[in-house]
Amino acid sequence: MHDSSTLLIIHNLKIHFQVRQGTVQAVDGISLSVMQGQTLAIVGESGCGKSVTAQSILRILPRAGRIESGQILLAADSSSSAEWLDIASLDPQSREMRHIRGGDIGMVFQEPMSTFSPVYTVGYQIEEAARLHRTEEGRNSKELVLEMLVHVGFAHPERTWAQFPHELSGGMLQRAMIAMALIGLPRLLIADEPTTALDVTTEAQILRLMKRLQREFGMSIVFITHDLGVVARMAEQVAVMYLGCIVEQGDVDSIFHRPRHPYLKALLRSVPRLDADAETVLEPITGLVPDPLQRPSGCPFHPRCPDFMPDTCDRWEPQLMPLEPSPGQTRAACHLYP
Amino acid sequence: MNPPLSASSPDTVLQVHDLRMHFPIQKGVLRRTTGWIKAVDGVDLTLARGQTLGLVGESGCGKTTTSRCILGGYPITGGKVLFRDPEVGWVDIAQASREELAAVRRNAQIILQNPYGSLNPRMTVLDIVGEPLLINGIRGRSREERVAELLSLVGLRPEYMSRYPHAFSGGQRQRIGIARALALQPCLVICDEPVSALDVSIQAQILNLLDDLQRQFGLAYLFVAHQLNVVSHICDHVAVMYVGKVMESAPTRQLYANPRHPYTEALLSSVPWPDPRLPENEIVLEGEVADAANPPAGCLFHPRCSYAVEECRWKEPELQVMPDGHAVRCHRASELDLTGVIGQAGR
Repeated sequence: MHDSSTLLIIHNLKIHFQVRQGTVQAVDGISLSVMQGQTLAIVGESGCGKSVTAQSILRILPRAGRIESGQILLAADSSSSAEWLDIASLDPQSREMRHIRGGDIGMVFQEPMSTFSPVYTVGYQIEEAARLHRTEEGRNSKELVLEMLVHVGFAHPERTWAQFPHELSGGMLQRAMIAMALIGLPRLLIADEPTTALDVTTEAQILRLMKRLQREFGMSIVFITHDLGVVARMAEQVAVMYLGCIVEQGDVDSIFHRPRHPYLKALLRSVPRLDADAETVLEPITGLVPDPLQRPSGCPFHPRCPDFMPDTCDRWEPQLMPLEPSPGQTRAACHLYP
Repeated sequence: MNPPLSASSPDTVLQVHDLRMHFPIQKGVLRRTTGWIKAVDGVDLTLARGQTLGLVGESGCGKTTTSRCILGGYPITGGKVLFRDPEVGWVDIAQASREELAAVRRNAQIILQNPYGSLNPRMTVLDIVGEPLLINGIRGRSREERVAELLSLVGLRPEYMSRYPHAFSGGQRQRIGIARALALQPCLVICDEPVSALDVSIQAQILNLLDDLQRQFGLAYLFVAHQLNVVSHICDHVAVMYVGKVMESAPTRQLYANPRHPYTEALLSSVPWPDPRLPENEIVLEGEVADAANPPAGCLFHPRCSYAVEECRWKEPELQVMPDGHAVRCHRASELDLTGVIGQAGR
């Protein structure tokens, strides 16, 4: 796994949140890796820990959250002597971390309206990032911004530069945010539900744009989403999360065509399909996502699982195990698969 | 008593005819009206008992405004909204008397999108679900019994009656909202994006619940949504809106399999399918949704339409009804061969 084309390795990461009622294990020992130039999708329902994982890579966890243990290893660029840099061990406020954030790793958030400051022009805000992360080139930072605005599909970059966020539509603003994330020429782009707030036709535009930019800039993408349709369109590798754990992980084809974990199977069945007729009854997953403060014993999914095995699933927590040899290295955490 | 406009089946509960809702744009200190936003501009809809009509479109297309107008939420600019009330018969919402409106408000209800914002955090479930009962003179024990009955109907435990909304998850809150809407046994329920704030697994639970309730009580649903896959599951008939106008309207299967309007084709193709093996052939529309305050001349969709011809730039198409009941607002409807979902998925 640790070959030269791996860009990011997350190893046994645990993130805890201190809340009044106790400790929430938001992320409970996950391991992942992101290959150079590829897209890893982390998919799951609200509260599964997918956004927290993304935030921890940039060290922008909310105050109550803390990386309890584990490593987040970023492959060093050519200028550094060490091979791997452990982001989890850095101080979030350190110079080094600030260089990585927006430089090596860019981020696109869900709500473009609340990410931009309403009192500065779009161009000024993107230029701020350019001045911080593109210093060595000695080029005019405004020129860099105008170039990037053209890249993300603005026909009149000069005009967009001078506009305020409220003057742009949601889709336009999401393009501007992508420009801001890419201005530091990151090797890794983290996209946290970047199209959830957009209409389907705008979503299609943004997804196509992200794929094109990925080819042009050769970056890797960690794509956080709850929408399985978007996963199918964007990802090469997929990790499915439930209650802070990865329950299944593999290449996109085996995730959709050979799902193993009962949660993933149920999730795929509960998606309403466009070609279904009115007589098709949806198969929802019974029950609710448990309270994170009262995690079920054993497998976190056992209270809702159709294949629940008493005395096994409620007692032992299954480990993420490789399934029979397959080119995609599919792994699932379920007692059904020894 | 208003008679229905046209020949309608005895089951028809709602007829919307040429509904227009224009909002003034006011500028300057004197708040002079400088223009109009034509949020809804000539919408026709018909809905019968036990049926679900889907109203789909992108944000700003006027689907929510249409549903508000139907409930009498706005003073409409023009057209007619006729509702067949089981108590007082046909009512024209815009000209209804106080008594008639009171009856309409018992018999036409709404389920709102945001299960967090639509429940008062300071009221218990009993007060939330029981408020419409209280207003209509049902008090004390009989009110509590009715609330308990409603809660078990939507799959919540009646013991939870004394809890506050914060104690419930998003899906459970949406069930509370549904119980509130059903409290007075309405015949028409407007569902304004009822599942778009919910997770997929919970979404399916709520959709199945809405389906069960419809079968049980013969409810008519006006289902406002932007998620086309959800609409295909629950609706019998779908109307596609774009910038205040209905572009296409047809029975659901027919619309999805054989769209006749280029906008519908593009919408259907943009829905990401949960299957990585399908080829990427979505039609990516260029540009943005037209501005309702300054709509383009001719067909509203022509600036983004890849099939547009000269005629589309200056002549606005009428909504033409095909012999099979498929209504479409496009000059080239009869000559175009558009791809539906079945063709796209290759199955």
